[in-house]
Amino acid sequence: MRLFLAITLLVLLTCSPLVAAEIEPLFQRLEAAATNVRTVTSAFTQEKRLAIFDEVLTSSGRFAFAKPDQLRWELLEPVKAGFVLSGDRGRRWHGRAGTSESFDIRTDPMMRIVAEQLLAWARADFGWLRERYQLEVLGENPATLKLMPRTGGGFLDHLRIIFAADDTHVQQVEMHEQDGDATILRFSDATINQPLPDATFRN
Amino acid sequence: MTMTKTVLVGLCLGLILCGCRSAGPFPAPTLSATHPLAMSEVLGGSWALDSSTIRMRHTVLLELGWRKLPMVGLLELDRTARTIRLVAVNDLGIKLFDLTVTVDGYQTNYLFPELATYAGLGETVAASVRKIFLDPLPRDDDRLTITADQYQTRRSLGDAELTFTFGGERPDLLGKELRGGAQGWVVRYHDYRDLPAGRLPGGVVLEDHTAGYRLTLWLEKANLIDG
Repeated sequence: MRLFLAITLLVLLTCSPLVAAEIEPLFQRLEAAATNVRTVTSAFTQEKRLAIFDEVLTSSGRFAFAKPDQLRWELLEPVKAGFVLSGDRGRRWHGRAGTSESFDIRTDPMMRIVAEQLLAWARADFGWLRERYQLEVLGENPATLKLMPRTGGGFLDHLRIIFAADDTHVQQVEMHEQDGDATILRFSDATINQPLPDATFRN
Repeated sequence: MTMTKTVLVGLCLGLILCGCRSAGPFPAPTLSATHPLAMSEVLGGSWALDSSTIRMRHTVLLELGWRKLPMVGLLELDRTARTIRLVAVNDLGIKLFDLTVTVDGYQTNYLFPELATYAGLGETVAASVRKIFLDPLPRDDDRLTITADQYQTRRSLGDAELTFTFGGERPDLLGKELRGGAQGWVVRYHDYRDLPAGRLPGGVVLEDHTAGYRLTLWLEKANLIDG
């Protein structure tokens, strides 16, 4: 019986995600890489998979980030829409609807959720992330993480994040919802630390 | 001077009339001379009375007072069971709501928690898509009036009157309107396209004067699910 338990334990340890002692060096590695990143620009594609309709809504656009808290998220296809953010304030637009309006993430909960997530990943802010999620390492090269919300009751089941091979930025974000829906963001053609004009974050 | 005044008055009248028939962001429908059609011929080709199930993807703009809420809507219209399943997401992929709408009710399958603060949002959306796609529909026993370029069918609903307007060569359903009584709303259907899923309006505008909102739909994609 003891032998069986020992073998079971050994198998579990071998197959399980990285234990805490092994997670920290990976986070330190990612945080160290992020420290040197001042700006990021990239293309992205966004897939929304709706379980109820077995349907994928695909869109694509450009993303830009500048430390500490500037973002540009711009959809180009199938409709032109997006937002820019500097600090707490920003502006969002929608070409089809002909709208352009300012917002403040302190009073706009939906934009706050989006901005917090994008900034946390762009900055590799593991302190912020650990407060909200239980983190699990699925792979080290490339760094691949699974995050489960610490508080239940929300729509999110878990996140799966894949970093670029050089650790400087996130290459893929998967948001898996409890009802089977998922949003997959894939970032490509990333440029790191290129100067960005101020206009990038204005609209 | 008199000539100038006449031209100005004419221009003003023209602008006012154009404003009354505003198509929103869509081109005004192309009307043609009518023919002495029977009611069944007017209603015969309408997408609204077909029996197949179609799935449509729209870009949607909901205008509630000064608030403008753009979204992407996926809608499955079962014209036999007369039900609609509607899922809306925003441009960032966040699911806003998931509703099942019937002729006389609706069920909220999901509502993004932060949207729960907008009281009546689900009901407003359900009532809107019901009016646009599901109910009311024109009937054989409506009263038919044929003008030079339009076919209109009418029936009384209590102290209000419901009017359906058809026009163009097919003819196509161009509008629904309820006037009088406690309610007042109008739906305009624009930019008809022949698609594998059938002949469908590429643009729809609903204005609910009583509730004070406007819903604009741009059709992006349509698939036939059965049949």
